[in-house]
Amino acid sequence: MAVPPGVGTRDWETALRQFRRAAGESWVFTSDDDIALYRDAYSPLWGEPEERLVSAAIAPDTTEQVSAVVRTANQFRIPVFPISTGKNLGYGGSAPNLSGSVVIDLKRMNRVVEVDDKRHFAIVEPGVAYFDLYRHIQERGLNVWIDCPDPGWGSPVGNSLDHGVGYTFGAYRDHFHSHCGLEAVLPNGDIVRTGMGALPGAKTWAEYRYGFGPTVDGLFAQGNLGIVTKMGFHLLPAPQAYQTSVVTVPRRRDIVPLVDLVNELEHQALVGMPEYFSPLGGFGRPGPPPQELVALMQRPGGPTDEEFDQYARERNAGSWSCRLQFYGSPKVIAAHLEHAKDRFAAVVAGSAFQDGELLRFPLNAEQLDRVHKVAVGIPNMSIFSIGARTELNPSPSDGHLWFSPIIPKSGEAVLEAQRVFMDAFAKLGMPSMVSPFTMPATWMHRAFIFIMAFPISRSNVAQNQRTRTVFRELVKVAAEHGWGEYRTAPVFQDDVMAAYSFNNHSLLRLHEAIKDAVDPNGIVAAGRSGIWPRHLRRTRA
Amino acid sequence: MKLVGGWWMVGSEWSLASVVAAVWVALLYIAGVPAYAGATSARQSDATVQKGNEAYQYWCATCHGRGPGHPGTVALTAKYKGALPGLLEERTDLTPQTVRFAVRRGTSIMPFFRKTEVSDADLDAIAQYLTRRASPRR
Amino acid sequence: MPSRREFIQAGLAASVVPVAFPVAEPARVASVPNIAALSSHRLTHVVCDARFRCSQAVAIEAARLGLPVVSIDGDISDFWFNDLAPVWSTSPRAIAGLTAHGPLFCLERFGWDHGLRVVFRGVHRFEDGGHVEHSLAGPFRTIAAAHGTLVSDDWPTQLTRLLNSCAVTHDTASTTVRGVIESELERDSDDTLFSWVIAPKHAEPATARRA
Repeated sequence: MAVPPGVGTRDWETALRQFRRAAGESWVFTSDDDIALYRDAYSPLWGEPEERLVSAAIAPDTTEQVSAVVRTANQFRIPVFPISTGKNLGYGGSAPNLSGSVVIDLKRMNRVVEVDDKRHFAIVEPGVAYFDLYRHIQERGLNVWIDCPDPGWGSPVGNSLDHGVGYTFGAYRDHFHSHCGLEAVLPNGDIVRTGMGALPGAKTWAEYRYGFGPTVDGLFAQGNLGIVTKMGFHLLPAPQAYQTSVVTVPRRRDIVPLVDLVNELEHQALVGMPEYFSPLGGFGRPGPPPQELVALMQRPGGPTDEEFDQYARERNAGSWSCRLQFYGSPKVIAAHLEHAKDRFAAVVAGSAFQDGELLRFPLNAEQLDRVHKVAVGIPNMSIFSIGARTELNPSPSDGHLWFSPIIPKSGEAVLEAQRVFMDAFAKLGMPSMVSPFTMPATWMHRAFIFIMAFPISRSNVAQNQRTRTVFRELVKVAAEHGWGEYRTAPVFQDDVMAAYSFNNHSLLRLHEAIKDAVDPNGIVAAGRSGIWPRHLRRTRA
Repeated sequence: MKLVGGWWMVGSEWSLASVVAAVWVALLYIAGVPAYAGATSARQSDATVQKGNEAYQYWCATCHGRGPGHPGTVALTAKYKGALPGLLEERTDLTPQTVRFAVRRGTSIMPFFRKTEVSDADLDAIAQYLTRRASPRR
Repeated sequence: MPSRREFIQAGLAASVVPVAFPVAEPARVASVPNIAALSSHRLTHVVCDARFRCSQAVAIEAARLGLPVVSIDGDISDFWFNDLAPVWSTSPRAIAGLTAHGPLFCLERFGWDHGLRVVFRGVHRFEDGGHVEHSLAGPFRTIAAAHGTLVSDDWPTQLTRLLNSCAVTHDTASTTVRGVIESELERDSDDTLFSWVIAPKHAEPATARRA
């Protein structure tokens, strides 16, 4: 039987008895088979000695049970690691930072506490999946949308606490930003409610986020000060209609005004999430890239803008496109779309729009089949088609790992990122994952995420080792250019936090001071975001 | 009851009815069906299959349902290339062991599921649901 | 106009040449070395000699990896009698450490009696001017992974990961790596320090592929 690091066998046995009393006999998992279920299914360390494994898992059902479990853990200095639905695949899954931790699996806490469709908020427990919240809303005919990430099996609580993101409108896509109030169990077992939740009887817990005094909520996101057991979220009132329109600009340098204009529309809340792509990019079609493109890319120093433009003209294609998404009443959509067209006509010569169909809610079955479901707040699993076996992808990897640096929302920044990363891959001696047509993800409504996916294998250790080396190198390259990751798997969290080094890592030092005060035994999620308890901290020069 | 010379005997009283009942029970026993199994077992089995269907729809169908946008079905269709149905619910060759293995071990980009998600009881029910059409084997 | 899937694939994997990143073998049902098998290959103890700062750094990194750490003051007697002898008498498993020569010498002798051998040995020689020279001998894969890792002041952290990943194979290799440590740090020791892994001979690698 595995014993957590630093814990004596007798203490562990006592603790297990207390855990079983708190959560119930059948909800404390210690067998090899059971704890194997808490491995990160997409671990870049799969099968290696450094893979993060747990020593046990406990699945409490209520906040009070969580509190009892944490008190026991604190008494015996047992490291614990909370998970919600445990589906953070690509960013660490259900595995802890510190091997041998005891996972506190909150999946059983799956109550939707409240949804209000006049003031537009929800309060949920960590085990509620996006699927569950969506079903709750649909079954009651409530007039609100959720904003969900690609796979719907994740948790609004867990996803927001990892700064996760979605697809619909404005700040709703920034899931932590759109939260409002939370309840957490602190490392000493104390239960705290933030914002208006701290005022007994307040009905505004999920309406007004600040309550009174300093807000501490942010310390729980990508943090390790406690275990969140409830969270409020602001919800978008269901719009009446939806329409897309794709604007295309002709020249390579038009990326600059394209992004500037879309920023303006987006930050004025006239469009939802912009989806950028290039008509010249590969789109994952089978076969090698066109011969002319290969020749172009091999010119010494790379192609000039004029050469790119020539290439585009020869193919009778534009250089860049953006799918704009409009939400609202049909009248509002028409007005916003017309305004967008006016702005582009005034600024980018040769820009052209191709309007999609206006879709009025509720959608019929045929429309539902066609629409991008997450863009209209419908959770699903279709994103897995990308990595799964298909005719075009007969040898899928076993999983993936996301590298996700934040770059400024400008065309210049995109072009720079393309150049820098193409150079980096060349120096690493491997085929580039970035092309002159790679565009960032726009999930975060106030930032670009220049995201790349690395394949993970559950059988090829050498490949995973190489992936980790490359990943760490890219973290450094990004930092040299002022780009830092917004989110990463536990194995890289020290590396990423090290990049946020202003003033001799003063931010990390502040986190450590708070950690020492709130969690002196260092039991909760040791190592998360590079914040280690004192006894596991490296001495710095 | 006690076994006497190959016949179950109730107490020490023999009557035609009890002999007939004993023969009936013995035959059921030999056939491998517990006594009084009959209709109750079929009902329990139906209920389990129904429960398995519900659990399947909640946990599995988002990837393994019918049609595009269901990456599990798309993946299996590409894998089997017509030799077997891509839709799990149409398979007749699955065994409970295979179902349990896939759910608890994962495969390719399908991760494994924890007991707080798919409990052992749910998993058994899903296995029964997916093997409801399996050819009987002895 | 690209479909949804095409757009996402472009965003994720657009490249001028087809992505030729080393692809895993065709996926099988995941070969799952179970927890017991993985655990049996984990180090039961990492021995750090508290007199040396770089050995303390090894202890921290080992603790961060979830490994049990033993701190000695140059003398392994207590560790041997109280912790290691009971384990090795029933189920000998691998240990590692960064120590002066004395502890390694003793543990190697004890290990020999229980069917264990030094499968990795590093010699870390401190020189004037803030240099440390690392000479490593061990499994081929470990030596290959060591390349480029022991060349800055975080070498104890990197070394800990190497010790942890040390697979037992019958291929052996050796190399010499010259590292530089920050000259502001006091020279840790006049002693030469030794890193080592003592493991059961002929153990199966933890990551054996299943047929």
